[in-house]
Amino acid sequence: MDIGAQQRVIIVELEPVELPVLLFDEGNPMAESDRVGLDVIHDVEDRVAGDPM
Amino acid sequence: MEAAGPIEAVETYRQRYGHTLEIAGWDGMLAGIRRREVKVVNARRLIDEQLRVIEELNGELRRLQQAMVFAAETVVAAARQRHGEGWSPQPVMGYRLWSVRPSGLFGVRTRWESPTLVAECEKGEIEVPHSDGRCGRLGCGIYAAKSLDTLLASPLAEDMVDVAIGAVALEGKVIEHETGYRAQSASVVNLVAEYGGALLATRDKHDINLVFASPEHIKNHGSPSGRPLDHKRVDELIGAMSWT
Repeated sequence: MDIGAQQRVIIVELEPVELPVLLFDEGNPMAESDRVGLDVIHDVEDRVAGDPM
Repeated sequence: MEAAGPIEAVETYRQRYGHTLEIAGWDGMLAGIRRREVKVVNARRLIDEQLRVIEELNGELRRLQQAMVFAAETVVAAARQRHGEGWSPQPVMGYRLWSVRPSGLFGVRTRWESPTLVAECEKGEIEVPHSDGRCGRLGCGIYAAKSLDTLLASPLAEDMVDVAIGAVALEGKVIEHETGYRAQSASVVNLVAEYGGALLATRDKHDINLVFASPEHIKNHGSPSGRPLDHKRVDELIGAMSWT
């Protein structure tokens, strides 16, 4: 099948993303591990936003 | 005060009673001990110097490795930007068509024994599908069309009898072309398959596995084909099986 000229390479990495458990109660400040999880999510969002598929 | 040990005690008793404690070769043995103690000190000094050399070399190694990592990351990031390389945590979706024969479902070059196929290339096992042009105009990889229209307009779809058409999830290295993709790996996520007068439309993984294992599954579990499997009908059937 002719699919035309090559345009770009896309790297698909189906990384498992650990979803954070957010604890919003005052008595339950967000744990360090949760904040790490959020950073992971933000990082993924940034990368998706930069190259939405 | 008594001496700390038997050797020192000899000297103490010599001081106390004069040289009445004669031991054959005593002074020679004492001198031998002193010489060896000096040699041990010198050997330790050499070891310390070598340990310092090793520590310095390790420091230089670490600095060189850090510089190489920085240079590598910089050049790779620049290459990604220069070539517009994309990244996705989700599979790229495309469409494929297979010929359904009694022995199985066939792509242009090979039989798909299961719904997932990983690309191979004679021109090298690394970085498949190749994007440096080494494979010629029609490069290696699992091909998929960007749209059903493109797929159904291709010569592959001219004789729409006993065919299977489906959406595939492309993973790994995926090369985007104008109207399609070449992928490292493709997995079928839904399928419309016609064989022997029967039609089966499914997005059930187990069903899809069975179809690729044997097209008889289409006959046994499909419904009568009815009207011809044309462009419009494929569009309806695939469209009805939206994926997430």
